[in-house]
Amino acid sequence: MLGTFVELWIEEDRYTNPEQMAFNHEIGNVVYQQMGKVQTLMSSHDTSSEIAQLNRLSKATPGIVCSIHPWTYEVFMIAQKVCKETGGLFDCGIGQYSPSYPRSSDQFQGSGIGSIDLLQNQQIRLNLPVHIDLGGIAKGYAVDRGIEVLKNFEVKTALINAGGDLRIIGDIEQPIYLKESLYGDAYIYMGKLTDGAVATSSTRFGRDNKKGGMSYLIHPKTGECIEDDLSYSVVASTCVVADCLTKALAIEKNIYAPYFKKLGAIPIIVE
Amino acid sequence: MQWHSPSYLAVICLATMTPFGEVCAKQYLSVDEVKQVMFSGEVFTKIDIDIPELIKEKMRKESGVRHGYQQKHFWKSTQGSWLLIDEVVGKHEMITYAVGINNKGQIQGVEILEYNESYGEQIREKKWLEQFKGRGAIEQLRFNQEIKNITGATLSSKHVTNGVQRLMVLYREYLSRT
Repeated sequence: MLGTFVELWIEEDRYTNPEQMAFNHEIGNVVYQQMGKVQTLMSSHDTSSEIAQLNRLSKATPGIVCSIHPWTYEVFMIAQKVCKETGGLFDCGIGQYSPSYPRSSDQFQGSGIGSIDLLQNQQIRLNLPVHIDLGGIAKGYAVDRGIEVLKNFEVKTALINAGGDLRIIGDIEQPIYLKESLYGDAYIYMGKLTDGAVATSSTRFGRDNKKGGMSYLIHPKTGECIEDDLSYSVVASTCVVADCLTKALAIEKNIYAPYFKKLGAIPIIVE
Repeated sequence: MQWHSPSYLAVICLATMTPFGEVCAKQYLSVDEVKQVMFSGEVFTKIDIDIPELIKEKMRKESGVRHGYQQKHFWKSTQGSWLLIDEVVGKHEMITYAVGINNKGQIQGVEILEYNESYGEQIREKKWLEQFKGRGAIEQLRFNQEIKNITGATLSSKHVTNGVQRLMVLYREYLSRT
């Protein structure tokens, strides 16, 4: 799911009897179902997803107003906020630069997540042809959706880990380790997390082999791939914000950038 | 949200911001952290010992490390384990490393605490460091024989191997008898 393995852990004292275990199993099913729904809505690889449809619409009919799913709308709101705070270093509306996207023309000139107007009642206006790619935000958002499900079921302590983008709730200290290399088994101890989220983007692992091993991390202003063999992690209260900010960190490499403090986040760069 | 990170991570963050190719001092583990990594739960006391010149000479001969042994601080646990910190030259700069020896006289673990060179830090790979684990004080640790080379980090891995050997000589000839 979401192009990775998704792990769910629920507090141990909820496994007291078979009935409780069956209930936990049901909760787990709902979590995975909700996270799967994020993928269905927001995958840019799936041509039937809402995002793929919006991309096509923006090219065919610039200026069109459309109603979208409340979750997609919420992701756009968060994306625009982080884009603004980071001075455009995080922008999920520049998918045309992705190694997996055929670079075709200048039709996307001036577009980005900021070229979409968010209107009332989950309506948006696609002002310019845009190629939205939520690969840098949807996984974090899906983790947050899963956590919401757990909270609704009154689960007090739990963890969801979607391929390294993870969030933990409850009063436990979760040690966080970072894998050093794709094939080795060495880990770096990063710290302990309580009631928060951590996300990591790395130019070590995220490469498109079909495109000659180009990094998926792209500078939104130049379209150039970030090639530096480092890992960028961000700790934040929600996984979606942590996920977005790893991209700004990878581009600017400035752990003192003011947007981290403003968004309540802690940046970490690991060699 | 609460986040507690070890102090060395901040150093890593700063190290990454230096221009490519420059020497970066990187501290990966503190002495307190390495105690926990190797001997979780054991309580250590710091002991200051002046190592006799005769022992130092034995260490030099058996390990081949010419850089003089200058450590005076050692850590011993109530269970009889030892934690020894030492440094050797990597290629051009010093590598600080720790050797944990359990109360059976076997290597509990080897960890790199500080590495100051731009290249060759593959010696921190767990798989390589684990080659030392369980080896006793009477065993020889010969580079390219008992301990395998790391391509691209030959000098660092050779010198750390020799360094571990010299600490095991120190343990065998002196510390285990104190």
